[in-house]
Amino acid sequence: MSPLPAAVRPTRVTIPQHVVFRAFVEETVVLNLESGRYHGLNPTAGRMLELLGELGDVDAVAQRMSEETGTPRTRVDDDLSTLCSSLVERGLIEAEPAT
Amino acid sequence: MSRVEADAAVGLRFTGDALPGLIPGVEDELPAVTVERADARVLDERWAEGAEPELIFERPFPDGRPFLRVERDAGAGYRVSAVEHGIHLLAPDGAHCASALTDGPVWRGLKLLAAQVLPLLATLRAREVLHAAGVVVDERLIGIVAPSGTGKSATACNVIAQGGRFFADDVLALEVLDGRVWAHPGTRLLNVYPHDLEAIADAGRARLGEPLGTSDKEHFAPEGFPGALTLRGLLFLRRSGQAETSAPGPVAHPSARLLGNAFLPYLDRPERLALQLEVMSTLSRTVPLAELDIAPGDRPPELAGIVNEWARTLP
Repeated sequence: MSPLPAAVRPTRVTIPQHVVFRAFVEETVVLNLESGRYHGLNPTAGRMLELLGELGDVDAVAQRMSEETGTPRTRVDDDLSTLCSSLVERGLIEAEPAT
Repeated sequence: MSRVEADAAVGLRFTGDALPGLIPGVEDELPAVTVERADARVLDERWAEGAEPELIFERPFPDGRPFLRVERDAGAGYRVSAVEHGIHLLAPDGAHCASALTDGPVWRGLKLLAAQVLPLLATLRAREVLHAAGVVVDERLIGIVAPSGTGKSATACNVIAQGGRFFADDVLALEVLDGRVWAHPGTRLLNVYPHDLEAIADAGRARLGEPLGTSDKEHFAPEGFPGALTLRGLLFLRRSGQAETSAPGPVAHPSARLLGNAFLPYLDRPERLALQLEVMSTLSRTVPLAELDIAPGDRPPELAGIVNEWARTLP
């Protein structure tokens, strides 16, 4: 698996072993243990990351988020695609391309 | 780990040769560290034999000469040394500590133990260390976090002088058990500037413990707290320049404030950083946090009154 251009939406993602994350009161903090760099995610993005780690399947994550938050699926799809691109770019998730 | 009475500090029990500053008779289940007292020359020869060290932290004297040095070697562990304060070799897993203490006043060796050696051992034995003072008010353990020079230790001393109990001066050793943050009592050393000590009445000073001597600060050996407590609240002090000290309020950016106040930031091993994230995250979600904006004229005795009042509001 390798980083993808932002426009390509992955179907499945994994969180590398050197990436850990924990929820704080106001945000989720993601730590890349190889670089020692911290990244902050708002609670919605933090929940998406949690589900990506749990489910792996991006469509399933979008569906779950839509159900949990009552947000239209198309809006969640857009937000999730943007988040995945950003996380891939920062090396915080690894993505498989859509086939 | 075993439950026996032991000399302990920062969540570790110490066996073998004696070290100053430990709390006798602690009954908590704690991982053990064996202590070997040795001559400084012996330790230097031992370190030189096997180590290809990397300097990971250095603090110089004002004139630039090296004062405090922490070196790391993958096989040999850590060497912590400070001019006229002692030399210590720590095993990579923190299970053994070979120490050459200074021949000078006891507070000198204690300062290096309290500020570097014991916190480093604690992190090697899966504790996280927060740069905070700890005081116990009505059986509630409160942490006090503040930038250098804000008056953290002076405020803690005044809380003790007003009836609280000493828990830790500068470092809280933390661990998460059953989803709660527990803190372990720190080294029995309390440091306070002479001008802050003058503001404490004699009866209050007696509560600070046995006077050990004077450097730029007055040093005391307080009675050690006999075991771990859950952390009940964490108060950040900040000098804001506002006209009046306000009541404790919400903390802005708690994640950054907590992670930014981790002690020994030069220890960046992945396992330490991962544990640190877990402990700080649990702390932010389970322990009440507050910030106290301090007006310029407010002195530690008044601040201690506010800390006492805040502590008594906590669950």
